[in-house]
Amino acid sequence: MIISLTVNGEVRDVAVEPHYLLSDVLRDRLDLTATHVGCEQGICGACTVLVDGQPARACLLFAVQMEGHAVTTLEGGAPSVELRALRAAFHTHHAQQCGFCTPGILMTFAAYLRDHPDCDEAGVRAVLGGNLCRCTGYGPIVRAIMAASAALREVADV
Amino acid sequence: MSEREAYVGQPRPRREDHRLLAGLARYVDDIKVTGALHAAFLRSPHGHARIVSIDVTAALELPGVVTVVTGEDLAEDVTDLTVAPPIEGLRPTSMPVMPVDRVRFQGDLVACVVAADRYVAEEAMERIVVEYAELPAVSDMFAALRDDSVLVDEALGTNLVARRVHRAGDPEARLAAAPRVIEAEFHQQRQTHAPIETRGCIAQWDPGREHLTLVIGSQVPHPLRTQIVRRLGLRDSQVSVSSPDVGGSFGQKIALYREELAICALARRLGRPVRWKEDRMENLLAACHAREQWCRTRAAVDDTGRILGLTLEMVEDFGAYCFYPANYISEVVGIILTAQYGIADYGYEIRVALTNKCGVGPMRAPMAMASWVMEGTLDVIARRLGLDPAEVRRRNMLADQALPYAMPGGETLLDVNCAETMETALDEIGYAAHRPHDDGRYLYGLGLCNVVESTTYGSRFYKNSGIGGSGHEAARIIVEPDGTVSASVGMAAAGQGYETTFAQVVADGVGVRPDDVAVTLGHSDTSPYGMGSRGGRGATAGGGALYLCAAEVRAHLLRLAAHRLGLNATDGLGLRDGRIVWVRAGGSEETGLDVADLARTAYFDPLALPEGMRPGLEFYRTYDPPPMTFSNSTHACRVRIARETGRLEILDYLVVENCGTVINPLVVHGQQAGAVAMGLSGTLLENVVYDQAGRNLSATFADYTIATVADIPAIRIIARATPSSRTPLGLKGMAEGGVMGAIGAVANAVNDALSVVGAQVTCLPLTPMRLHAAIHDGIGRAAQGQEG
Amino acid sequence: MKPAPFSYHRLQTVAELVGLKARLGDAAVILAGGQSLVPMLTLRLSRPEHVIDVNDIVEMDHILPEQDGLRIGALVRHQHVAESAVVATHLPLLRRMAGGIGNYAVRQRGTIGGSLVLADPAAHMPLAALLFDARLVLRSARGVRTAAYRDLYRSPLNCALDAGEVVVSVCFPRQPEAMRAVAEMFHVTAGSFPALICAVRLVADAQGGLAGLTIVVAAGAVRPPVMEGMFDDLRGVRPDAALRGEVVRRVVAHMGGLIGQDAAGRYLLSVLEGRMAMCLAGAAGDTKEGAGA
Repeated sequence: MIISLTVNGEVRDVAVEPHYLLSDVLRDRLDLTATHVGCEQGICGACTVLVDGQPARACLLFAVQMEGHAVTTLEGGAPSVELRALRAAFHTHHAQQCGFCTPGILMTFAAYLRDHPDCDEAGVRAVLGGNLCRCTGYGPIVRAIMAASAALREVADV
Repeated sequence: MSEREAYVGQPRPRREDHRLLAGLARYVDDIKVTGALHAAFLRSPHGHARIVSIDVTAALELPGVVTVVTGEDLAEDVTDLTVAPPIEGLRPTSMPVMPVDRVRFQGDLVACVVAADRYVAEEAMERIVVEYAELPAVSDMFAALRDDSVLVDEALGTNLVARRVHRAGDPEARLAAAPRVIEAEFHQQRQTHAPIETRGCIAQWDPGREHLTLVIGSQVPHPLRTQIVRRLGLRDSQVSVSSPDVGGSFGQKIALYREELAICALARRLGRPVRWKEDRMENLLAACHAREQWCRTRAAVDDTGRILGLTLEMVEDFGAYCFYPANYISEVVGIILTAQYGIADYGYEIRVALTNKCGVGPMRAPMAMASWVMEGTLDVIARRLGLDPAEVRRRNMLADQALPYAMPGGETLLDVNCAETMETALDEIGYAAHRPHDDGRYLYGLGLCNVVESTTYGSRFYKNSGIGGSGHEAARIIVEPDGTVSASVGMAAAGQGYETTFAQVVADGVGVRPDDVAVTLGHSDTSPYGMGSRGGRGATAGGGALYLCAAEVRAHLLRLAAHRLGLNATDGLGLRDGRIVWVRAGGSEETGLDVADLARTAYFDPLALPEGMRPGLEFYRTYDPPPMTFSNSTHACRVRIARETGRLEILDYLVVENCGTVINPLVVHGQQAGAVAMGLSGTLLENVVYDQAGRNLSATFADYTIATVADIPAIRIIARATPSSRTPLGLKGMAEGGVMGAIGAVANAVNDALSVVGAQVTCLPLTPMRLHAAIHDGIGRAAQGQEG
Repeated sequence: MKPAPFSYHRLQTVAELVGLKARLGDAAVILAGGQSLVPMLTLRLSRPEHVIDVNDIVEMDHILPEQDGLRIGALVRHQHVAESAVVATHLPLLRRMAGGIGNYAVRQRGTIGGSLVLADPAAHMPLAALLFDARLVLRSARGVRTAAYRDLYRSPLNCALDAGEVVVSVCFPRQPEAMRAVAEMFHVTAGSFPALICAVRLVADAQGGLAGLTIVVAAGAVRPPVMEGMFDDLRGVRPDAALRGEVVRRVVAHMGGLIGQDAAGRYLLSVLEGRMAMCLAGAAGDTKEGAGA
């Protein structure tokens, strides 16, 4: 069947079977490989994308469900201010080593920082609990997200 | 060599980050190959069974299925893997690419489906009918070593695949004569690497050129190629291995696994590209496990806590198949156990058992247990004798003047500052004020772990320990026609930041800016044949080879520059950020020449070269590092354990570290913290669990729990670095010691806290349930620290 | 790990849903948030012929305060419950428990209806529904009925709907003024499902004595028991430390009979003892930090 969905702001028609996972369709049919698959069980969080602006595990959705919905991946068109701030802070704070889990973390926090501009570290840690990273020990990731949040507040204050 | 190290030592953010953060990285599964078929492996549901029959008819009938092969089919194309280095006490083992008539563990290979996509392949797998005759399984290493045990590998006639004995001095005589003999036990649970990117590969066979290209996340592209050509009956020139971005490896991506070899064979057989992406269940069931080891030490001590002699008994569970010589992991524990302690009379006995479980291999700090065993033994001695644990360490520690020191395990220890790191750690953690105590809700403890981290492993180490292979590394540097410096070594990154740090090393070695150095890695065709990334050898072997090569580049460029400037010699000339300068006291003066000018001459105006200098600017240099380099550190942590729940909280964690010259503090800090986190995750949470029938009960991330952000405390890292006296730039290597220290520091802190209630734990992981039982049921009480 | 093929149906109204469910019966599963269902499909623990996607049925996506309680549509996401001011006013504990489910991304998708029908013994929403004696509004081709969740939830992973029935919404009864509810979750590791959840609903009489006490405990792989009648003899007694100690003893004894006394069972019971005491103190107003009151 052919479904029509909005991916990164563009309407895309794609042939799928109902049992195809969104993560596979993004990667294999739409060539959007920034969305990584780490467990296919919704635990590691590497495949997190935004569905209608909110984070969701792409491995826990069937692509067919996305007909008429908007999916945003890390490749996503014009990056949001949150994503830009996160990228800069992740670079400065060395918040990724192998980088495989990173897209899921960036997508999650692009939404979280947008919705929680005054977040504190406890809140950030609680949300980051949904993403596994095997390289960094998480400390630099927390520092980077807090730095991005602070930078966004600074911009907002100007 | 160079006038100064301008870029080594700078905390430069990584150049790799851009592509990772933009979603532009390319891991294996991101690489599109037109027409590629997808493979899936049918795996044994049993821990041990005879394959009676396999019927693939229904699978082949499914539209989209190209072929289904069994072990018997593939045996025609691929030779067996034989692991039989000439090591005394090691029994040779052999395995086919896929089992033919018997499966040895749950997850073992039974058949491989190749289909249009993974969905079809998995549908087809369900249609394969396999008749198994279940056999009794042995899933416990001690049971496996009993005479009446089921045999895992019948060809061996025993499950004892390796037994190694080493003696220095006469430890038995010391034990017999000692005022006291103190025994301690340590049991580390089975773990697995669990990189967030699982394994996977894409194989393409070009029938016209008779050439195989394998794209695979690998730590060791060249040694992997060697394995492939041997097993497939090809020549080295017929295989290219390339490792793109790798989503973590931690030792799991070294061996040539059977799945990957089967994919290569199938690509050749079908003449079409074949790809395989391991799923998480396969990864946890059947990729590679690690660390399941039991140790018992017996220490002859005097009343002051001095160790007069020491023996180590060690048993390791190697699983069902040997991808490595079975002695190799435990042996390093035996070799380095005594670390910085002056113990002349020492012996070890290692026994390695086969069981009906997934095969094991090295995992980040394969010798990690050594520090826990040594430091845990010292703590037991201190508790038995009523002495201060730090004081017992001081009494046994080698004085700095005693270095270099011939360790009883056979290697030579040098360039460490163990007393300095320990005393600094004691100050920083507030040791003097600490006493283990109980406030009614919590038990409080403090743990110390001195670590001597063996790194690098030069060829002499392999020769000494009888393991085949080499520890050298190779570097190639090309100054391109436009003056760009392209550098490569035979290593492959999986997050270590080589592209950034090696550029810093080359920049200093040549005298250019890091931004003018391109580092390309991981391709067997374009990188020189090297030994890859393992054993903390990246900085010393890789960086060392590059630095030495870069120095040759610099010398060559300066000779060329001198000629261009009409000079007979290079005296007074230097290279700074790509410009040829006159080196003057207090500064430098431009000559007007730069590397791009010289490159143009070398490539396009060879007649302008000095007599005897050949056109072009390509350089190759190998480097064989010392048998081992040693970093050292002291880990210290304060913990509290809730009486009510047994939950452990780490109140303070610090590392005082000497890892030699630091190329990039940002990267090194990341590696150290990451290693500590992995050590903590293993100590507190991770556990591969098999039941008695050999069924794996931990094959999802819901069951095999690895640390989340909530499990890892803030980690303070304090540098007390001294350079190595024997390596280029004084590099030593790091990135594994954090694992070693974390296990020992936390386990020792827990036992310090538990000492308040007279309890001890000797088994990992330190789960709340285990600690709760220790506190309330007295489990483990008097299990450790008996005088024998 | 890929799901087996199935036919996909995406519906817009409850009426369509009821009709299709009647036609397909057990061959169809309902896909709401999918946070538990999809992993089961991916692991092929479940192989339905039909999957009915209800995510578009907006009439099931509402939170409404009603005369006799709070009605929450089956499709309401956990994050919506966790951030809902209405829920915060009427049932603060429910709001807090929703916020503790899984993780941020999972809460964006997971639904209350899906969680109640799945009836995972370690899950938050079923426990809350048991504690507050919530009733499910069920529709089928035969019509509408309501049923107590306590009656429907028979055993782990078994919410006994009749053939062709779907959950449309869940009603949490209006609570008396003097009700305090507290829950404590215990995770063995930070990333794991809770090993233990205990929840207390305590209603005081005008004199401060016990007018009603309900305790639900999720521990081990058993259907969380609702403990209520076993406290009838304590009515009118002030919930002081002595009484709370007695309650804890009864709860621990009761749970011990259910989850067994092996090492893991003994451990959970021991932790339960402490958590239960904490919960009861909170519900009795005997602590500054009533965990969720």
